Amino acid sequence: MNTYAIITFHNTHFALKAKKYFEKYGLKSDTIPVPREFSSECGFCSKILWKDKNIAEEIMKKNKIIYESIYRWERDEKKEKKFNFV
Amino acid sequence: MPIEIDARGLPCPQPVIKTKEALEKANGEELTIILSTSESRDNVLRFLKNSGIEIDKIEEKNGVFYIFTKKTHKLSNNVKQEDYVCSTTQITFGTTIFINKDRIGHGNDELGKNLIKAFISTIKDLSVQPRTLCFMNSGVKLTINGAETVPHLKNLEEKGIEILVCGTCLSFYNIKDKLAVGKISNMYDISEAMLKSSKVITI
Repeated sequence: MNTYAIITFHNTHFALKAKKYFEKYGLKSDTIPVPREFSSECGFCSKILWKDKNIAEEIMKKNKIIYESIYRWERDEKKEKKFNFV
Repeated sequence: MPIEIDARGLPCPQPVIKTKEALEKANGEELTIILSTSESRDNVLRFLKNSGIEIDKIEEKNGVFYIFTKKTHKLSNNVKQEDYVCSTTQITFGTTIFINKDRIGHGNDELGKNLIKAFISTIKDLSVQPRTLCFMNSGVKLTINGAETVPHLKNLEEKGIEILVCGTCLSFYNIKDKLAVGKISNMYDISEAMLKSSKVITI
């Protein structure tokens, strides 16, 4: 089980700006579509490790990146999902 | 031990021929005939009925049809192949996604590159999966070392999704030695994958 922080934004520009700044500061992040369980005005969100949440908040504050919400997201990535070929 | 006749993706009258051959060899065993279209299912059912073979059960699971039957007597020899030709041309099943550039759409490149990455990473979480992903022109850049899409594509490949990467395109961009995921293929493989599919989605 991995625990992530999902950061949502009001618009795509902030999501892409956050991606750039996280990279600049060497913070491991992933820009992904907002998971179905969270809703957001913007389709992209940043996925970071939960332990990096405070650093991410600091980077965003320092660089005037406005975010919408931060969610705690737990995922069991090892669990095999069932799927069908279409 | 029931005999399994997997006739998925075969054009008519092939499923009927396969069923007939299996029935001729069978000696009282149970048979399961697996089909991918309702038309081939109807054809096989019609053949079984005409041959006087009783049908135990018909099931449909996720678009795949299963017919359970048992051979009880000798087959009559008057089965004509031409009676079981389908009215429509059906070839195979499965969806192919054709990715011909390293981004989605036109407009802003940064947005387009993030969108393609999001698209590929989302596929693995869906309950439906394509059979094949084909990469051509600048789309091949999504399959090389360092591309953010590679881990997601590797994940799809592990699931059994075929990833075909245009070799001509890799060599044009001089990145053939950097391929990180997928199989180097040529126009024959890629065009065949597209023509064999029941649906092709072009990105």
